Amino acid sequence: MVVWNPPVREYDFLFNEIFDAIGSMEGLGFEDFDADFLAMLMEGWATHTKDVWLPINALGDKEGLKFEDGHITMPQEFKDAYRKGIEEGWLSTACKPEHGGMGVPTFFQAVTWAEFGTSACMALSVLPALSIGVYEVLASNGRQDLIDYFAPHLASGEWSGTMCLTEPHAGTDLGIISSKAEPQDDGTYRISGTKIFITYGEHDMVDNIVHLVLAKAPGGPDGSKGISLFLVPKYLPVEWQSGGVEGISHDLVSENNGVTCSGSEEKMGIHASPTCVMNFDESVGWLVGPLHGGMPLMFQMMNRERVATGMMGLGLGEIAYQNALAWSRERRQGRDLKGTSDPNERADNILVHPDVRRMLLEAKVNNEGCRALAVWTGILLDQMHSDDPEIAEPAEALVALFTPIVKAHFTDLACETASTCMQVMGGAGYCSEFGVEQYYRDVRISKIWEGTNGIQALDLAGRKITQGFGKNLRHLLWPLTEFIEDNRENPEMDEFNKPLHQGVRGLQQITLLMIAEGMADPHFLAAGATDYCRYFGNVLLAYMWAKMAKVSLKRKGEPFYDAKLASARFFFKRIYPETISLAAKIQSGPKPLMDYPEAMM
Amino acid sequence: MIEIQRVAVIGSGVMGAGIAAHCANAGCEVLLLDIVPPDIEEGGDRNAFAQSAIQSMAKSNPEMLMHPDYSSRIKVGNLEDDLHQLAEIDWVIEVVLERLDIKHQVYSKLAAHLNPEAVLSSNTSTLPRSALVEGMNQNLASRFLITHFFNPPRYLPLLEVVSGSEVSDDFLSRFTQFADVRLGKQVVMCNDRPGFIGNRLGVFFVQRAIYETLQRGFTVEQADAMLGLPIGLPKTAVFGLMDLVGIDLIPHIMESLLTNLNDSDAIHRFAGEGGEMIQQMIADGYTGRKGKGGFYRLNTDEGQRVKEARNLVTGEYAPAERKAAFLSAKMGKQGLRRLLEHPDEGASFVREILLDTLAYAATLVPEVTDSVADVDLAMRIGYNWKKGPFEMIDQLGVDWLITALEESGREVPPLLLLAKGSTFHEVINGEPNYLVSSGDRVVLDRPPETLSVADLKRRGSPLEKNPSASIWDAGDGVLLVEYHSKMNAMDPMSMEMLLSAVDLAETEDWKGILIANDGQNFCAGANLGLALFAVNLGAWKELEQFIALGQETYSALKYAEVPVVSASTGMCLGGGCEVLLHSDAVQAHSESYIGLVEVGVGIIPAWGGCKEMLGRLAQNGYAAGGPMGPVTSAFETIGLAKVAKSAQQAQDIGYLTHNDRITMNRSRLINDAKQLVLELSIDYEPPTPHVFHLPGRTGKAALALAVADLRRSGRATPHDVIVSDALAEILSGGDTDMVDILTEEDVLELEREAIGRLARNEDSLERMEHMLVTGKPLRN
Repeated sequence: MVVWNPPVREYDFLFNEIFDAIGSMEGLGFEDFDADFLAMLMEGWATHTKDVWLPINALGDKEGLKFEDGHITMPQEFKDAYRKGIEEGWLSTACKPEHGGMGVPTFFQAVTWAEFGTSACMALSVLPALSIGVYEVLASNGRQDLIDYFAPHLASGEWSGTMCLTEPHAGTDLGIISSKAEPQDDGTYRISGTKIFITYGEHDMVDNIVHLVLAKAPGGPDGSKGISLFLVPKYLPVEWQSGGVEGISHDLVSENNGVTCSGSEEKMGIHASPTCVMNFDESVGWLVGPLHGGMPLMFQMMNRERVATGMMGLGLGEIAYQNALAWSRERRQGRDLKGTSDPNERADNILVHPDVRRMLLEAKVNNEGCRALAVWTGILLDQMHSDDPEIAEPAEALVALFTPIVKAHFTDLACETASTCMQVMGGAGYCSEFGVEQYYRDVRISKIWEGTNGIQALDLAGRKITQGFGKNLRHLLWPLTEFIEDNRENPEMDEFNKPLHQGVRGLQQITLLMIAEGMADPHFLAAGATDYCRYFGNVLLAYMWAKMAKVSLKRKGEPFYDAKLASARFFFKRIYPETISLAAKIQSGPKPLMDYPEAMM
Repeated sequence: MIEIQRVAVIGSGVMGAGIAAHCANAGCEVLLLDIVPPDIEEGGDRNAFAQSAIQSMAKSNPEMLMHPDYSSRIKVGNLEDDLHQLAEIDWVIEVVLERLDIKHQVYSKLAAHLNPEAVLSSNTSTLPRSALVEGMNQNLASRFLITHFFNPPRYLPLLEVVSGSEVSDDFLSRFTQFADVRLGKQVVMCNDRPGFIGNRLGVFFVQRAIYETLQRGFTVEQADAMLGLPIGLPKTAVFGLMDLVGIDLIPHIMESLLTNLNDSDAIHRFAGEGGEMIQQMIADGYTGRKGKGGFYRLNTDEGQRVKEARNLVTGEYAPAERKAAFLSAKMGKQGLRRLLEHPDEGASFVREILLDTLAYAATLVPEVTDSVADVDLAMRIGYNWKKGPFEMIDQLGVDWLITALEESGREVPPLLLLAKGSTFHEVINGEPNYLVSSGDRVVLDRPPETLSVADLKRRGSPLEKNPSASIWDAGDGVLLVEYHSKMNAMDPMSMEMLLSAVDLAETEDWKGILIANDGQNFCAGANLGLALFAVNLGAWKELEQFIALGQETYSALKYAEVPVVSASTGMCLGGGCEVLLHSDAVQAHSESYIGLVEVGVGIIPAWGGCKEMLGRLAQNGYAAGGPMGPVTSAFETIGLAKVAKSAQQAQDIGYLTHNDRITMNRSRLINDAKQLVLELSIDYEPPTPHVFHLPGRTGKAALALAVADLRRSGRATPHDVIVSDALAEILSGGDTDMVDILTEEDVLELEREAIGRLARNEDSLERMEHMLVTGKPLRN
């Protein structure tokens, strides 16, 4: 039997004691939003996911979806659960009130909502996550009449959204896509082409599906600068045929828009999440954003989904840990090496074994550290839209830096966590009954989609670091070095502050090395990128742990805070030292990779 | 022949004025003569033409004169009243219209007045010498040369010289020596053939390109994007080049070439195309940059400067396409052959033009010269090609070119066949050789005083080397430190090489150190990008180390036990200027653009630049005004980021001293600098450190007052005030008093403190970032 307690207390600690989430929203237009409201939201969402979503997760995995004649049928339990989410308004927390949304800050949806949703049922949670992504791109870049018509449908969850980027020959390299958009006299376009790996490209839980499609319109340059973004609905609703909707009325003969699904992939995990091959055959579409300027918009959505993907990793890491722990508390094997701990039983509980503790604590501490960084990132996602450049500019810089790390480092850790948790459980973990086996399969996609983790690392090392000659870093490292300086006054902080300081010094030196060497040899940057991304992730988590330790030191003696201090110690002693080996790998440069004789590989 | 000291220039058009100005730059006294204005009124200025040329000199951009004062070296006159003055003149150069009859008239008018030993020359670009000396008496003909300058004469080092059988070798070599050393020109001897080397090949290339452009219906942007940087030519390429030199000149040059060249010459095949278009443009006043525009123009109608290009078919102008290059243009980076073999239309366009141009070049030897090396040199320094035609052929492969010509049905010139299976240029025993038309290889003939780092490279390996700099044995016991980082910027690795050189010189038996390179620029300053990264990373320790390392290195240069000489050329800015300030002496190329420009990027000189400026302005009597004098003077120089536009101007400002020496000819610079090292090495003793008496707080207050005035009048920006304050803090000596003694270390410490503060100021970082991204200073 799967157990899961949504970590509401953890979020309460992070939002209120570490980051002052409410105070950070000042001046951003969320005047009615306060700590009580936030607490209520968390509790409500925790209850909803636990009661409605969690029970259908294993069923979705086993039963999956049905693909027949171009149609995908979802399990009835999924339809019911999704419907309940709509009714209770849980699918639109971050949407604007004028579109029927709840209008609360993005951070709730981006962080807490995403974690709980994924823990409870990842296959279902990706659907509203995608719809919100489409909503945000449309609401901030679309024509007013398109917004007026589509945004409320997307916000409510009655309609869902997708992003259609990948084609059979074009994944990481979107510059070479071949989908075409032909302009029409009435200002619309006709879109034709094939897209693959389209999550929820087709399903029967909503009335209509709104696709955001990347395609090439005539007259644009080659490569990614010639790509435009189009809104293409599955159905053209009847009211348009009568001209009943101002602006987007169209002389239509059929409500069928030439959007068909020709297949659904068989895959390792998230069996109840359709992964579709989509065909567009002269489908009516509307341009969103500037002509030939589709890539930046796609990246706006992509960046949000990248954070969301990091949170999926955390969600599955958390539930995997909770189940491994629950199982361990019951499991008795062997004796404590320092002497029997439970003489009345035939064996001691396995928590007496250091190696079991190592595994569980790695999982727990990684989850907690990532959650802290996620909360910070979520708050920054709101602050980057501030009218005050003093707030918006640093927030934008930090989001630019954190996005690839949240995506890559969180999901790398999550895959390790799922594996470790299965290991704790031994043979039981490998069996379906206890859930972890499903999480292990489900979580694996998170390292791949929305740009593989290798791409994330290149994005960090090749772009985010070098932008403005390191300007993004200024917004992180100047305050961080100040934080370290401040902590020098406090000897209790030494055990956290000193390694943090070393890590920051190392990060500075390694970055300068990567820049100096990378100027002469781009392979140097690329060869070290993945290790650099992980190094950077470790330093950010170290910062999080130092911050959490600083607060917890003031409330020593209370179990929650003592545990936080123990977690911080575990992080600095048992996880963070990997930075030393990462640094050595980065310093070795590209030679060990590129000098290897290719024919002998 | 007498030593040339007085020069007369006949004709005061753009070229005449430019040549006159450059002779003044060389220290000559110049007489500039032109005709009396034909429509002159009673009592009007009979020298008006020459006089207005002097005025335009002062306004010219780039500046014709190396120093504004040099205009006083030029006297004006006219061809009616002042001919008697020619008796005093050592060299008369004629720069009148390109018409044989007019030139003949001028020569006969001058003949009677010339000094019997004077040189007479013509700056003709296309007329043959044989035609010019017709009707001249034997004596004058034996002193008559063609001396063809390239525009602008100050900046383009090529001088094509045509001599004749009547001229004695001794006479000729004394003139070329003058042209080489005093005028700083690279003399290339040409046979008496129309257009000589540069214009013969250059005009062919341009005409061939126009032909192909019109045939294919390419736009001017497409043509220039393909024929410029991708093949190693300046980005003005073809149409931009015509705008630059003046479209109205083209029909004259073309006509002269066509009249004087055999019908079999390949240029006839492509001539004519575009002729009408060009005539129309001239008639409409579209003569290029000097007119209202040409193939490109700047449209400022909408308040913004929009670069527009001409449609070759309709003659209309539209905003210029910025990315007109074909994909193949990128292939140029991987070698010319990759570009030419690319399947796109841009590549085939380039291929057609280049095959004909390179083949044409091969037919010019031995007609215009028997030296392929001189053809290459002429195109490099006269037309700013990165490689001359024969260097391009070597890069492509002689055999590749022969095959390409054959496959396209073209004739293969005999010279190419001669080179089959080999190359035109070859290094033999460390010396450059080239192929001549007899099939022999000869050693490149250069003045013995020519030395370059490339020579050292050919002859051996560096003593030490890292990615930013190398140490070479320059011969005769002199060590040479060469920077080769991007823009020769200073970084920790170039510092390391400087320190290493000092160490080597002191521990082994070396006579001195020379800092020099073959690049266009001596050193554009510190590697700002790396510094900005360090700052953004908050890597204060690395930044402090970088600053301390610079101070330590430059001090080591100053106090080395052997003399250190820098050979400055091109940009010597910021940290590059500070190297000069710490050298025992500078051998400066006249085209040295020296300045402490740090404030432009929001910082101050912190590698001893403030210290040395204070020291030398106090010592050498540069600055008047009592004890505040040097402080105020240094404050102005550094605070306004003054950049000297020549070595001579740098001496005025104090970046160079009057003991530093100037070389006019870039190719002689390194050897001259080396001789200076050897000269200084006799009984050398390191300099004694400066001691400073600085005004302290009261002095700083006075400087602040001046800045406040500038701020009030809007001439200083808010951040200028912050940067100036940091500068004033250093130059006034911090917390001190006139009676106190400050050491060099005291001032260096003030420099370190100031730059440490400014590096933490986000407005300074904005300036750095802006400079790095846009190449222009930010005025925040």
